[in-house]
Amino acid sequence: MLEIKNIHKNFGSLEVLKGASIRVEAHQVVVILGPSGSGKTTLLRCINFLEHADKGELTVGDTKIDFETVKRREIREVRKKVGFVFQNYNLFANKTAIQNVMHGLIVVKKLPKAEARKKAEEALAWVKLSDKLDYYPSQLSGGQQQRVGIARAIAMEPDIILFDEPTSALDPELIGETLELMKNVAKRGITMLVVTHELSFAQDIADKVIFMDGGVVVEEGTPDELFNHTKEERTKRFLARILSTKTIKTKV
Amino acid sequence: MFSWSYVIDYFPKIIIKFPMTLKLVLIPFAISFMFGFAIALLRLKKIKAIDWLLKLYVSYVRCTPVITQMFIVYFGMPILMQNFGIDAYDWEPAIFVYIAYSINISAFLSETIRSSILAVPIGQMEAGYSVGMSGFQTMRDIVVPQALKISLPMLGNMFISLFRATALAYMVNVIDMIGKARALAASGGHLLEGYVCCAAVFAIISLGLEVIFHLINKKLSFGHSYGKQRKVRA
Repeated sequence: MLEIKNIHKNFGSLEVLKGASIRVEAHQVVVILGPSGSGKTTLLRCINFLEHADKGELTVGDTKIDFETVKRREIREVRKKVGFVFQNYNLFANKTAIQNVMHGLIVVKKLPKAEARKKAEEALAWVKLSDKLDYYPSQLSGGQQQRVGIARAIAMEPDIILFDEPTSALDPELIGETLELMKNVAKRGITMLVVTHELSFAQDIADKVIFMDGGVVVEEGTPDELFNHTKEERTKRFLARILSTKTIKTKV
Repeated sequence: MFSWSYVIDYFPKIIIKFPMTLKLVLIPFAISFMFGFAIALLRLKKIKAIDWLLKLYVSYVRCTPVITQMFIVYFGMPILMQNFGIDAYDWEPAIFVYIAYSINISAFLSETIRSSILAVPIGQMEAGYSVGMSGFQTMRDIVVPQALKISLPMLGNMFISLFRATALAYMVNVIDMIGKARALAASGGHLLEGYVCCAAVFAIISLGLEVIFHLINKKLSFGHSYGKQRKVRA
């Protein structure tokens, strides 16, 4: 479904990705964990070319791309197949909730307006925002904005949705509802690649957990393998640190 | 001696020239809006040679008085046009004012629009890409509307100051309201009364424009309630 091989990315002299490789199968939920600066967000952003990787290979569905020789047409092709949910929501500030969801359907998918509206209404109903269709992002809470962001991604029916720390900017009380919604996204069978610090989400929902540090994949496996039978010292230290700073309900 | 009867006598004769003043504002502003936009987008592309040329142009406009720019166009352009075999000496004086003001306002507008586009958070562009929109589509539908909203107060100010700056056009023999006031004074000897009439018209129109821009600004608020007490979220 989605595969990255040997990806490299530098910001000036700073080497952020040093040959990480990951694989996501269809309908899988894969969670990437790792300390800040480990390159996990950069990895995610490289997949839909919000950052341009220097080297490596990307496969999304039947599109195969070499990062070094990628063409503009290929980038758009990938972006149509990949949805993205941002840490700070990034809703279109000049569009209402429903317009945020509709716009891509009209402009990119070329749906007639009425059909796009119907789809957008469905998507927003699914994230329980039917009463906020005509609200602008500035009139919505962070949690509501993120739900619109998720509806916008889902409505486009991408092959995979990437989540970049979707709950990091939210108040603690709103994190729960967003995670709950993400669980429902997973239940719909949508392929997900999630960067998060929410171990409980990884534990409950993920099919595979990847631990990244220093621009490479240190360890990967099922949640049980990674949390209960941790092999690598670096992973152990990271998990211990997260658990000591955050009180997490799940037992690890 | 100042006499109100002259004010009353002159007012209709002067206001009749208001359409000329209006043309001196609207034509250069419309032209400048297009050029300013194009220049802003070109500069955002950051192509070195073009960027350098445009910077030079903007600096020239910013660092010289508008009246010199007007005179240079008025006296210089016919000479320049001669080289192309075009006789510009017969052109209506207003045309030179349109050109001079367009050159001037384009530069200022390009800076305003450029900084407004840069003020739109980069995440808006990324959001457009993430739903599969092209750079052009995202610019057109998402970034530019927000940039225009940001630049609106400045655009309004510029429009109003251009409106007032048209008062210089009489110096190249355009008969606008000021030109008319001076013509009336030349025959009747009462200059001040004519200027009072002009001042009244300028003041009323400027205030009206301010109200209009304020209303547009409110209309484009995208849900923000500027100026009102913001609701504090608990």
